Amino acid sequence: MVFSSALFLFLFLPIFLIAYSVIPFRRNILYLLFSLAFFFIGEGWFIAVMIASIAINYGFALAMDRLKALRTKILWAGIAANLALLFYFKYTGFLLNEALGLNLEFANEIHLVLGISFFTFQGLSYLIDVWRGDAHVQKDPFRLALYIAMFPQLIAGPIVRYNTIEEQLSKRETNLIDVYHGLAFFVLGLTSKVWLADPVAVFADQVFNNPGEAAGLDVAVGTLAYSLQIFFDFAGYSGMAVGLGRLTGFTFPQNFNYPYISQSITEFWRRWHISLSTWFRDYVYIPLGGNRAGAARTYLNLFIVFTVTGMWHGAAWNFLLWGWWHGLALILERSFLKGMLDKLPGVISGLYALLWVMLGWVLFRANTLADAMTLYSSFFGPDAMSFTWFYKVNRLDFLLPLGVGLVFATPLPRKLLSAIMVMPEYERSSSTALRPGHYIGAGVIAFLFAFSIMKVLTGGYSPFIYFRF
Amino acid sequence: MMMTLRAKLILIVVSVGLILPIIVTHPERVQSAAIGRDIQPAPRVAALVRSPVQAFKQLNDHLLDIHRLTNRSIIYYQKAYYQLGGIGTEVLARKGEFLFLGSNSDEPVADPHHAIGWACPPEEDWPQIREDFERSLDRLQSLTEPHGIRLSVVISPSKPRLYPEVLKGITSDEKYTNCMNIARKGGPLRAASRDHALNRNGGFLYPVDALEPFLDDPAFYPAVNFHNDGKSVALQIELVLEALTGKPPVSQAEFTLTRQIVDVSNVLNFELYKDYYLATYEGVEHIKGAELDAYRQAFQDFGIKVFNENQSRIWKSSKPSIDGYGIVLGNSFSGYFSPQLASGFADMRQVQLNFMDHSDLVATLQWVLTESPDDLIINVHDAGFSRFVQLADAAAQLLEMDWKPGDKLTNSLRSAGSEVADFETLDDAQTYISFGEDWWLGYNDRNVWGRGNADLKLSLTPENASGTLVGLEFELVPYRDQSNVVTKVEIRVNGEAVQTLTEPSGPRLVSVDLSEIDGAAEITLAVKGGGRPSDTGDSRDQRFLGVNLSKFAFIYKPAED
Repeated sequence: MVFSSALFLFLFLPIFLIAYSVIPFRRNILYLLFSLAFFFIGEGWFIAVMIASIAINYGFALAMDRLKALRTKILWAGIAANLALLFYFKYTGFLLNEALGLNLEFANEIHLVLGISFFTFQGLSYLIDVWRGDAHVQKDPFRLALYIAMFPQLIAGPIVRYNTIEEQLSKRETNLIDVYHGLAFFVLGLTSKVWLADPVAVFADQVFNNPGEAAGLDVAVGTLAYSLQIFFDFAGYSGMAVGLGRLTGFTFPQNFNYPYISQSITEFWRRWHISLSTWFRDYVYIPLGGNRAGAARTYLNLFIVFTVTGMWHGAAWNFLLWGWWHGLALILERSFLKGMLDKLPGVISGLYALLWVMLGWVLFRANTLADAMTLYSSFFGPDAMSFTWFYKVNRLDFLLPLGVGLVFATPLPRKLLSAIMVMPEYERSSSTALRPGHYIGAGVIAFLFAFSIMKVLTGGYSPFIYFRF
Repeated sequence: MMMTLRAKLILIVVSVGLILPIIVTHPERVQSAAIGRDIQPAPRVAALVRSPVQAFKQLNDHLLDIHRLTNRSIIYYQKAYYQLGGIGTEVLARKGEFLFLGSNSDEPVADPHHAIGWACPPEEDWPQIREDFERSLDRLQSLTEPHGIRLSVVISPSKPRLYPEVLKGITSDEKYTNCMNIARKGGPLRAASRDHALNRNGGFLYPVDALEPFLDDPAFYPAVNFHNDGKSVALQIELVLEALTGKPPVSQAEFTLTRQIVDVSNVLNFELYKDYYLATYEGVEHIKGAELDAYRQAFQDFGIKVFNENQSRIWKSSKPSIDGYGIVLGNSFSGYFSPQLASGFADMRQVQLNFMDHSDLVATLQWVLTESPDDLIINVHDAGFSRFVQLADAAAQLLEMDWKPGDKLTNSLRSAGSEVADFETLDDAQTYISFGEDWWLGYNDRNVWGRGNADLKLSLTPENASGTLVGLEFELVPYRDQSNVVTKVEIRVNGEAVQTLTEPSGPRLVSVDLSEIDGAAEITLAVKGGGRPSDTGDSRDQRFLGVNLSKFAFIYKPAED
């Protein structure tokens, strides 16, 4: 179930919010039941996989707490159990059929459980935080279940680390300002999803699903469209998740911070899918030694991190190469490029980063590696300056969201809007006083909500990209 | 876990606002929200447990259908977007006032501008079109002439053919080039129109030359309309009646510049009004009541399954050019053509052929022969040429059966010619096959779909499975939408799998070797899976589709010198 679906917006969400507001006790249980229902609606009886994940993490953490002498071994066993689940559902087909070429039918038919990469990483974060002593073991199974299954960020993030919301699981508060920020996050996310990501997706899909027919400019425009689609789609979803969390007293971390204004790939990864990049930094890169053991070891660590980053996104060669593409940039930047970029005008280094990211998106979005190569050859080949589908680009319903998207991918609109309304903030405010900017903001949010619901009701193409990861 | 009262109140108000439009609903509003299709029913509770994912998807569609604001949202959205210069979510191409309907069906097509392509076929297809035309005209004339029925075929030029220059930048370069090319060189229909010029004995009219001098008048062929109307139709009527009688029509059109709703409003999803010339004729009466009811009943008695009530009409004229009985058969263009042509006939009836399958077309021709009119006029537009060919295929079946008015013909017999295979040799090497209703959900020339989760079988008789037959060639695409629905098609020969396809992107040409087969053979396309286009949200088509077959051919061993 996607947040922009009729089932979620007009049935699930209102029933949940009314129940959560009206029933003053056992709110965590209520939240958990709705979260399980949310997963069941999208995945049916594969809910058993998630329940297994909850049970594994609850059990191993409890064992670590009780058998202190064995806690490191138990941690590794817990990590192995988590990864086994993830590996089976996500990578079996790739390993057996793609990597080993066994072509086993059963491996192709394994269902990729929605959100498994997200809730597995949350489970791992819990185990590791408990092992490190950064978090207390959660003895209440329902609270741990809620942490892992919480529907706002269950299937597409942000990846919320256990110690971030450990306290909020037992004590949290929602006041009017939280509701304002929560609704603002949700509505801005929904708006960017349905009004910016979805309209440009149509042309991006045309290009990436028909690579042999696309000429150079089709690839260029299609890749630009996809760059905006994935940003507004994913950032929009994260925004909605943050908003839903805030409405129920949870403060989730920022996941995107205008990544396309980055002036290096290093900076890009500080702004893109922040919850994932910091997860890998804290749970993989630093434990491997980070940059503390010399240049060669640092490069190796970066290579490992970006190998797993690529594979986290999908079990296919494309994703692996995409990870390496970014890893290569980070290694180059760390070795010499960053110094050069720092001396260049911001526009030039920004263009470098954007071009690098966009070239990477071709690998990421192409249906196969061969498709990606076809697209690159069109982009760099003799037809680089020609169009096949100019008539599809030349339409208001594509050009308008593309243009608006390019502007809204920068911080400029937020700065301008901040002058007249209170913009949603990730940090919880201590003030509960309403200011004129809240009232103006409420009007803007109400308008955008109605505007987005209208778009939802008109139907149309609306997949969420990160559901498949 | 604290929640302040004001926070609770705001959340409750927002939630009630979200849920209210699906609770406070009304059957009529619900019906209008579904816009010309059946409303998705709510799933049964048992289904929510048995197959929850599908059932909740169905519930999602049901909610969209019953939401009180769905219809209004679509109207306002489309209207606002149109005013901004856009064309909304429907499949259209636009330049300024000019709107081009890419497809007037909900069927999923790879090329949304395929209707433009049909109006302007590439030059390499022209000889085939000319051959199809000659064969079809001959078949229909052979059917009608023995009954003393004068046959006239009028193909109305459509906008892509008349205004090809407007297409630059709003359709593919290929289609634009084809349309410019056909405008410059004339194309096969224009040539046929000269060779079979309409005269007192009937014939063929494709009045592109006659229309061209008037195209600068914006109200002549309304730029926003899909169909021709008003003055552009009146000119065609004048040409037809003058050719059939040898003198100017008795009743002349009177024109009034009127603000009228444009015919693509239903596609735009809001009412758009534009000025164009309304043509009226003195002495024409549109007959309703008992006579119309009897006519429709008689028509239905022939067992026609698809019957367009709105375009099955009767007119009588007190000032006719032809004191006789005429019948117009055609597609939606005939809906604009017939009311004006009615001025020229003492008695005239119209039957719309859209969505009729082969057996319905056969039945319609049976009805025509039984009625024995003085004139049969067939009117389609150039992009609807295939409908004319299909009608001629139906005529061929009646000729083959030597059918006479009064002979009984069951529906299965009407379909017999196409139920399994209706061979038409196009050249020495290949034989094409057309499919009957039992196999396919719709017959749409180049876009034929088979059901999901179904076996499609073709039985080859010893005659056509032996000798020089060495193989089969399919061009097919397993169904796939933007979701993860993957359809698998297994091709079997005598039960043994020879190929399996799951590749979704683009048509795939598949060859099946039959050189070892001697005698009868059964070819099966076993479709596993499938999907409904409506599930993607892009279409209202709720058919469960499995495989699209765009070509099917027998491969014969080349003759040895």
